[in-house]
Amino acid sequence: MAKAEKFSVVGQRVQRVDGFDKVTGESKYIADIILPGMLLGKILRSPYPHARILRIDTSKAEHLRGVRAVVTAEDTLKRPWGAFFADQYILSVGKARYVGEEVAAVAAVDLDVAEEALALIDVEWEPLPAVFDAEEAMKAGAPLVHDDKKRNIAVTLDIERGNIQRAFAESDIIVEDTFQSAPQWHCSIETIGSVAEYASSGKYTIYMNSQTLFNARYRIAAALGVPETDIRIIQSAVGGGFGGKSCDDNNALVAAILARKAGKPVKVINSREEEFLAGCRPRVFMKIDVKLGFKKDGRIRAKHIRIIADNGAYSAKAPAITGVAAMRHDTCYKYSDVKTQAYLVYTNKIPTGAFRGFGNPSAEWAVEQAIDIGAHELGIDPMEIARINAAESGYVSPHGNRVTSCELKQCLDMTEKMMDWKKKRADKKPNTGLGLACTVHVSGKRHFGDYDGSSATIKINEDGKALILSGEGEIGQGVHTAMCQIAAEELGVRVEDVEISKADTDLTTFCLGAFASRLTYISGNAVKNAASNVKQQLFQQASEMLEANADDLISHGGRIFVKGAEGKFVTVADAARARLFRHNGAPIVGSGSFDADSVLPDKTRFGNESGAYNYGVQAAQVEVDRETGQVKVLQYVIASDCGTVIYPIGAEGQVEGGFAQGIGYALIEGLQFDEGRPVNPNFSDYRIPSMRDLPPLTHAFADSYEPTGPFGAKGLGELNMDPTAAVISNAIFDAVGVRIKTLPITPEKVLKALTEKG
Amino acid sequence: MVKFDYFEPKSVEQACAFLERHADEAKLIAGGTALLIWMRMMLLNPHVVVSLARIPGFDSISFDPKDGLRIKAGARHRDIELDPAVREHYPLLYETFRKVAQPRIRNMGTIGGNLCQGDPLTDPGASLIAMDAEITLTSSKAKRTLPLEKFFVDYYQTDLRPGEILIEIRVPLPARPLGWAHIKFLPRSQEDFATVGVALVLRGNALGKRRRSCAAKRSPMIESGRWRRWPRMKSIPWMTTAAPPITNVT
Repeated sequence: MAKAEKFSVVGQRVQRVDGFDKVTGESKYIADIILPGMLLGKILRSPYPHARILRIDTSKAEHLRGVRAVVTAEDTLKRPWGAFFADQYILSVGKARYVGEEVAAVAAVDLDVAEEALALIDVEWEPLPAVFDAEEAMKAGAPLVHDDKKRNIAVTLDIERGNIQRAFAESDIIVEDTFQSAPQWHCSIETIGSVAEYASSGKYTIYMNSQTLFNARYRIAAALGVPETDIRIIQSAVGGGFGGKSCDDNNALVAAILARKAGKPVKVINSREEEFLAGCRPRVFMKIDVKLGFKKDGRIRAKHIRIIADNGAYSAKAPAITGVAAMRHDTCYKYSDVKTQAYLVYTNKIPTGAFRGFGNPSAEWAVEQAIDIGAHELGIDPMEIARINAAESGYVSPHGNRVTSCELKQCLDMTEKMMDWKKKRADKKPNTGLGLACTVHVSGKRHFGDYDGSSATIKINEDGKALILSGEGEIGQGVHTAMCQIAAEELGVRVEDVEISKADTDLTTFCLGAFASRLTYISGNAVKNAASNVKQQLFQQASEMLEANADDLISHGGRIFVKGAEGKFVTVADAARARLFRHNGAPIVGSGSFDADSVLPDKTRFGNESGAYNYGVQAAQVEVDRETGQVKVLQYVIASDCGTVIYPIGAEGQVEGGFAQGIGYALIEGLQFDEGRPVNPNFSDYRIPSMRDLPPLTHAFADSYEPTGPFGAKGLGELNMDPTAAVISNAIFDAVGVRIKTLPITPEKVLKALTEKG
Repeated sequence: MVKFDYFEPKSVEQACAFLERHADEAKLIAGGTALLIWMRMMLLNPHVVVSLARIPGFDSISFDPKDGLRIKAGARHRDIELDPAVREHYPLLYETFRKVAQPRIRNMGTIGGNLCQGDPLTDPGASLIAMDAEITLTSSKAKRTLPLEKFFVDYYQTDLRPGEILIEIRVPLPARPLGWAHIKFLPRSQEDFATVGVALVLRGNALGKRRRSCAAKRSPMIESGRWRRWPRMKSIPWMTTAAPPITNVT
């Protein structure tokens, strides 16, 4: 297949298109956006995990000097909204269901006044019995978080493909175990924030640091009860997303209703504590029972997984995440007979939701450990078990996922070599061990209506430079650079001659945004199609100027010429000007669309969820201190299959960043709750990995080409968050023979397990 | 953060005068690494903040073989870490300050602020106690010097009296040979506060006799009630088996 070397721009280590703005501090984040007359908003939050609101008196707050607006649910339609289930309100209606829930808000001339006003809002509460544990919440008689949700169950999945009973009967050994995953916060350096402005014509303009602008527009319009056109959302610079800025929270909605009531622009930025309490929706935590049946030769014959997932008080993306945890991993290995059961359960805690990996880290934490247990019981090298079962191009999973390209076996070979796996296994030293896990992720996911597409427009300016208009947005991952490279490659111009717009729902066409590792693959295809359209127009114009057939033309470095006759050319600028400045002149502008060849899953969740699948392998060598239980990661190796690498610097950043969050998830991060109240909602007490916590990492990309991808590319962003926790746990078992089944893997847990083992 | 008045006195006397005038309303700021967090979290809302940043010489470090090491309270952790005399004559202090948080914090936080915060989780206190450091405090009315050990009362509680400013830390030159160690247990991030930190000094010709001077600090997370919270530990049973390895003898 085609290789990256063939391309002139794609695969090059180009300079990041937003690099200058970032290093000079000129990027405008929400904190930098200041509009004339702008007020600052603060939110009054529920101090109770579950409590009825008997009365709210805002009169004292309204009369405080400097206060311009105070809002409660009375200022809203009291209409529930949400990504998949409409079950949350802008401001509490009747009762609050978790600590931190938005109850009322104030807009004032400065933050001190706003804070003071919050203290003057008098709420009469009636605390209600609350439930904090998903398993408890499912029991008969448990307090109901939502009166109409029996046993607090939001989603039930019960799916069997093949014949699970027969498959277990035909298995030589059966492994059964239970694993508990943990909540994890995104910890973006910039918290969620927005600036909203309301015009008396009825139009809201909202600056957001959101990663999904058009989805945000849809949800905000629904919650406010206005048409989408009345909402304009402009993306600011975004200081980290990771799934947390997918508009599942009320920040922008509160800013919007404050702006409407005050008649002035209002900025609302979450403090760090608010971000932990009620901002970004943390990773869904799950209890996962896994049962695997193996044949003696290492083949996995049967898989049964049972999940209880904590939804928190409202449904953000957890309904979809639960499905991913239940089924996604069945695209990693060749399965025939699988059964999956899952319950998503309401509790009186912060709603959980989308975070890099989207259910996959929890599932891989459980399943990849169960496979490792099987390997040890069968006496087969975990590397071999993975090789025996690994998916390949052409594989169709039991749930209908069709794999068009898969280099998982190549990734295993690369990992084995980079880790020097065989030698290290043969010369095993006391208290050191090796661990391995495989991973799969999607390149886009069809679940917001029957569409997983993107669109883009490209216009050529009079100077020959191209401007991409795209509504997907940049959230720091470098996708704008990758899009400019794709457009430059297709147009045959230098990457320096391509720019990309901000995402703006009024000025760009419909885009779903940054989630499901979709942008390089899906938006990349749309941009490539738009560039192809523009190139045809340029060639048409150039063919007249060169007196040649348009089909014989090619472009390179901004010049258009007949193949094999580079001496005689017109530049892109020449062609663009010639097309514009003449009778019946017109600018050169073209659009492109792409919708993945995937299927909206049916009622049994059968259907090819994505257009392409990304694969990877990770391995670790760890050393365990038997006196303290501390785990030191000596070496870490990652091999990734993301098809053609478009923007290597960005891609490497995705690998390293995903891995760093994986290490945090495995060893460090954990929010503790006391009766539903987060105990450590700050960076002093909720630690994330620093540079010094990260072990030496060796990484490589597989030689891979996705036939449906732009220049052979597919997704990468989430892949390397997914398996890390399982890798570490498997390595600890290899080192000292204890298996940790709850996250994070703290020295206390390891020490306790070592003591119990004796 | 609530609004406050901000003063930058040019001398310790002026600073003392501000403190006296504003009594309960004022807080001193040096590096700000602790105070600003507390203010941001609304745990402290001082109406007056008095900065010590513009007092000439308030960050100096000097060494004299007879007098020992004199660190002015405004010296930053990083200044102490990089000071040649500290490195040559006080290797335990060098080792300790080198491991405080990370360079960005060390470039801001001052030793005076650190000690006056009385936070049991930070590193310098134990090592300075083990080295017999004494501190000088001053107010408009009086000046006093006391062993650092006596200064720490409890979590976040020190013997700093109203109107007082910590101005200097003096560390006598230890006799040689000197055995020393500083370890801290960081179960989560390498940039976290230590769960337990231990500084240990074995002195002079008593090295062989294992006469030891040791200070340990621990986080509230591991209560055992066996030691005082800011102890100097002389002859503690566990030290004989679990003491950090004394590989450093100078």
